[in-house]
Amino acid sequence: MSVKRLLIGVLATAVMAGPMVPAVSAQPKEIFIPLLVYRTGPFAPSGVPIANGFVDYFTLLNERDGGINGVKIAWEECETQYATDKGVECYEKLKGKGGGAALVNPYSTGITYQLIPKAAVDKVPVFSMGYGMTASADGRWFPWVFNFPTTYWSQASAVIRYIGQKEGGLDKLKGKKIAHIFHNSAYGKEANPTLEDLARQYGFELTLLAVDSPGQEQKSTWLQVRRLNPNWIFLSGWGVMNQVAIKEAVSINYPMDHFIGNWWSSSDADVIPAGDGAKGYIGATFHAPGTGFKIHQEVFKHVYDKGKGAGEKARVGEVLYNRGIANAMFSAEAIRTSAPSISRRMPLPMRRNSASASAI
Amino acid sequence: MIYREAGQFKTSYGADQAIFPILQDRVLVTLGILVAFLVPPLIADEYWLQAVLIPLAIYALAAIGLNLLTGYAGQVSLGTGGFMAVGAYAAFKLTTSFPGLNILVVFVLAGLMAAAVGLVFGIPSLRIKGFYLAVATLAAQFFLIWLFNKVAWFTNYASSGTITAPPRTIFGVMTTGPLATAPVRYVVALGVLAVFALVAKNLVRGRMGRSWMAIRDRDIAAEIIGVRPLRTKLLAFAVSSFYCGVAGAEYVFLYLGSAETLAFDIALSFLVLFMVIIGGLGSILGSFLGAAFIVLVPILLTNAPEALGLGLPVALQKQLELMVFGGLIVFFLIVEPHGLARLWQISKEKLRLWPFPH
Repeated sequence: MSVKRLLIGVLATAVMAGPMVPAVSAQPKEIFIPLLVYRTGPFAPSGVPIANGFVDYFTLLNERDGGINGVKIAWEECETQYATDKGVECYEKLKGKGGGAALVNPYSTGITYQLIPKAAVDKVPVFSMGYGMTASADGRWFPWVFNFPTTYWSQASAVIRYIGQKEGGLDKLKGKKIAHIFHNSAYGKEANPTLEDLARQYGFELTLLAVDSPGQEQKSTWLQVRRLNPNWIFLSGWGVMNQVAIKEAVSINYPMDHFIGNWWSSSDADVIPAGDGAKGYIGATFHAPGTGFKIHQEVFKHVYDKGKGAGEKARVGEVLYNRGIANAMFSAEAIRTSAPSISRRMPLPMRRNSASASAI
Repeated sequence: MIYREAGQFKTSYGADQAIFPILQDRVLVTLGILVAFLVPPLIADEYWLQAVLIPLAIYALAAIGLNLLTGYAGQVSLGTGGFMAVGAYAAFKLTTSFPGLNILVVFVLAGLMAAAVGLVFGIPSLRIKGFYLAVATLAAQFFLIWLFNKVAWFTNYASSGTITAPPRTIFGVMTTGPLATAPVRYVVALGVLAVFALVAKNLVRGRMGRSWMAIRDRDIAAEIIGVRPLRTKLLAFAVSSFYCGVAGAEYVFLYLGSAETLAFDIALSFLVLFMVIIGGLGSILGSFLGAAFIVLVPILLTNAPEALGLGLPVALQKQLELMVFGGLIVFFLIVEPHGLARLWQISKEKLRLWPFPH
């Protein structure tokens, strides 16, 4: 991650937790958070655990703390099937509910692109955690959009740096062949400019291989991989595309320890279908998997033991479940820090605007 | 009793050949158009306009386009999504290159661009028919989407491959871009639809439409009586693609706001084809009914459990929606294989005899 990007990330955090405007009088009954989910369709394997993580964390806050600062959280799910037009429909349906959405998590780069221009008009903050438009990290131009804690660009450079480490130094990258297999959509293409830049800088040979959505059909892609025989493969897939890619890689005996998935391509559901062959597959994420954290004990105690869990207890702690938890946590803390007494009329964006002027 | 033309005499050829020869129809349609233009912008909230009515107007235009080709000229096409993408990308390139150009002019030019592309992909129709032609147009669908994905020039070298509708005004009123209000976008989409629906209705009543239908019903017979298959079929492709192109441009500029090629994938082609089949092949009204069915019924089904007070999980709700929707399609096609337009026609005939059927 370059210093500049890091700085932007820190700034974004600072701005989110920035100074408050004077407290507003009216105390709302609840905080409304729309949840754009996809529990059906080709992307459901990735969509279900995230949605469960979100819901479980909000249930936990309501059960344990009585909400955020004593104000209950209300949410409503809307099924998008990862389709942009359905996402827009859901956003329109839910943005005004419960006195106005506190923030929206689009959970699709395509939908995020749709919502970025709308959010500024509707004054609804968009929180695209580690996805969406990378350029929107710059709060000067996108005051309503947050993609903290990190972006596809910083991830791409982190992955290249990791490869450099494994090869024994970034100068050793010269002449190495690296393939980027990506979902042929705004999401998958997002890392390409960074990779191209780094390829020029370090002199490795970059091959960009697009896989059309949803990604069940990858035979031709992996034929190209076999012909090219790259030293490293970086995968930016989603949903069923990940499972197919990993299975294909196993079937051509590609060395798994040279196969890196980005944070949407490294969940339990992606590797299980490939069986033992997938052992050693590398995933790049910005949070840890597993249930070894205090939060999970709390979730078990306050949510699952009371029979209020959104999913199966055994699936708590999956990579994408934890992503949902992390995202819900950031959302909740952003709401908490921005509004000591949350007003329906004046949600978090008001603060954001005044804060961004002073912070940047 | 109410719906009867007794006493309405036609004294000129013009009156006899009018689109709506019966007074009651004229009144009904005029009222319908007035209501469509005036009521939603005044009373509908943003959700209804943005998520229901604007896509409805745009899909209806695309369905009319495909109906001209498939319903009237008998050429099955699965390339609708591709032709809509041509319209969308052409409009994007035109309006970013010539920002001063009126956006309506841009839509028409984008339609013409799509018509040119449609003309090229219509060439195989001279030799192949039916299902084989469907496969050939499928090639258009995949090729065009691949092209827009591959060549970054079409998206002005956007790294994400996304095109975004820039802010444009018509007579000083913001029409596209994030600041355009839903009522304005709705009225523009409806205006375009009204004009082009009228044009389509007149096209199919005139010489061109009659030659299309002649080709559809028996191409050899049509050729013998002097209809030139080459010109007629290509014209059908061009006109149909023009409509789809305009609809595609509106799809991005008035509805989605920004889009990637994923928005124009094969699913869209099938969706429009289903609208045409369910609405009624060879009927302009059918295009409207089909679009309304496909757009409105899923939204109705999504919101129905909640309105009834049943708090179903979203996944179950979605699956129920798909099942009921599929069931309804099968039901309507069994009841009336010629589509909703035919149902409407039958009910009109019944209404004329009411309350004294033979």
